[in-house]
Amino acid sequence: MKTFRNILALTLLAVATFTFTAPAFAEGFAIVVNAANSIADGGNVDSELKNLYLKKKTSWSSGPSAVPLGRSAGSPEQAAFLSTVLGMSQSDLDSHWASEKSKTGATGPREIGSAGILLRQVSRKEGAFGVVSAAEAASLPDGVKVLKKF
Amino acid sequence: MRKTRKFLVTTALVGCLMSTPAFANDAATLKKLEKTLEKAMSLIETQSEQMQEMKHEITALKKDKTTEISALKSEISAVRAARVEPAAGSNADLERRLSDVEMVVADVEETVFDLDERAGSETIVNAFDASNFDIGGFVNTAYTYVDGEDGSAHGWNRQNFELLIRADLNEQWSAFFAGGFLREGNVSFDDDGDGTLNEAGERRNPDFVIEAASPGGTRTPQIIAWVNYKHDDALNAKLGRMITPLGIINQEHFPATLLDQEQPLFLRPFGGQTMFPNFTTGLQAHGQFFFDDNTLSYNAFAASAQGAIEEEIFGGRVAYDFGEMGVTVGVQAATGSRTEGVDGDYDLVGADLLVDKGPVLWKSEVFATEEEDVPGRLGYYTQPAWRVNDQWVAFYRYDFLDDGANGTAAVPDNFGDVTEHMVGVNYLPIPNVRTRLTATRREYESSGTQGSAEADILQFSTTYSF
Repeated sequence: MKTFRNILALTLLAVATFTFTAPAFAEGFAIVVNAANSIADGGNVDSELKNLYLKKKTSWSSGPSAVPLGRSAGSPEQAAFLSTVLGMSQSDLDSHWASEKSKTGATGPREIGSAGILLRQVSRKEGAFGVVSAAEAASLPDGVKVLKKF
Repeated sequence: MRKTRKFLVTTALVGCLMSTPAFANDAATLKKLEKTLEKAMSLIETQSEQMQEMKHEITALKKDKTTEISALKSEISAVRAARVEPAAGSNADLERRLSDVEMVVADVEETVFDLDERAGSETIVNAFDASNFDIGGFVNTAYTYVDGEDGSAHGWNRQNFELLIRADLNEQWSAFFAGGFLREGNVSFDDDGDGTLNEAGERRNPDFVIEAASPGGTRTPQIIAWVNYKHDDALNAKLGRMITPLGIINQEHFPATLLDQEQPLFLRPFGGQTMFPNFTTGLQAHGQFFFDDNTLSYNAFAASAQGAIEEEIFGGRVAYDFGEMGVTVGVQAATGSRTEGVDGDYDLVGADLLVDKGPVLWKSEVFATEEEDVPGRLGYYTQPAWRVNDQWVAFYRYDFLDDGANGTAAVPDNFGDVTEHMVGVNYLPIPNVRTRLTATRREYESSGTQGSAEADILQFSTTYSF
């Protein structure tokens, strides 16, 4: 009985630790879109983002033509976007674009190192979207809104 | 100042005396000289006074400016102090905005630096009317060793360079071109040693033949050239020479992404039409529909096979991608004629299954044909692969082809049924470089007058894409 209690206590401690630490990690990044884009979080927005980023789909379900913007390979933002939204590794993504380049000549989204420049791009193009850190998303310029946090 | 004045007076006197003529000894001349001397003295006095005044002014001015500079320095110190410890909301706001501006300037500097590194002083290329212009390609090289029943052969049998170009006019219109510079020879057989390769039933004595079309054996085919119009994601129209949109590997086509650059038996010879033409020229409609996580895609085409310009093949493929499951199922069919001068004698059906989930990449395809006056053909393969990590992939392929020939006089070009077992590994030191090592056991079944035969093939290949 004592052993059971110990295990239960440890389990609860582990769950509590995970519960309190997970949100900070889970909401460290944000997908930003142009404020004029009527797309909203929920439903199939993750699969839509994936299809748009991989250029399988070229227009938002809300209407505008998509302009996906990437971040520098290896940056924390891109790594989080790859694993959480695309569900792919960097090598998966490389293979995807190698295949697309050969079949149709399509290339991957432009990689932008600077969050400031990315936000300006998003503010100017209706269908643009990209990933920024939560800190960068805290003070967005006019014309940009957060679609979802992760 | 006094010394200066004395020097000037002395100089003036000496100057006057030096310039006095030898005959100037009368009183009038002397008086004139005295007046001149007086004037000079007066002028010197005036100039001295002016110089003194200027000196005073300069000293005063210097004093004033020193005071001003001290005041400015005090102000700057105060501003700096305010920046370090903002006291009120306005200062904090200024601080934040200043920080934003500094970040933007840093971003811009970074971008300019990046652009400068890329472009430098090089010429910036314009692409006529294209809004977007991409150019890439790959270099592919292979060394192959074949051990047959009656001999062996080895050599660098593939050297391909292909150039890929895409140009977008706008969001609706795009074009894609692939041109090749190919020097390659397939594994062939010359059992009777007469120098003519791949005669009926030859399967024991391997050799290579370079497909020559120009001195040096290099061909420069137009591989792909199409223009695409996008109405929306559900409807696109493509016109030109294209990869026939059937199956999995035929559409993937380019060695930069293929685990084995030889492709399955039913797609050989590359660019041929063992089961269906690898390339066709004509019109294709294609598009995709999205349902939650799943995707339905279609291709429908009306086109001519290479070498049969006056004939038409009508066909298409429908595929359903089960999103998160990583499974795609495709079915396809085609009908028409692929032989010049023969109408409506060709029918094709096929199916494919792709599993692409985590480390597993498993491709399977099956195709069957029926053709007037020619026995039907059957080809299929299954190719499971395991992505060990980002750099290593291991795979196996079971491959089968029945070319339909039966050794009769009506179908003399018989090589019988062929089975291949292939194992291989891919190593990608960087994503754009793929190296492969494959080992293949090829088995020819006995057929007609030919007995069975085996050939072992070892191949090393590498593809560099950019």
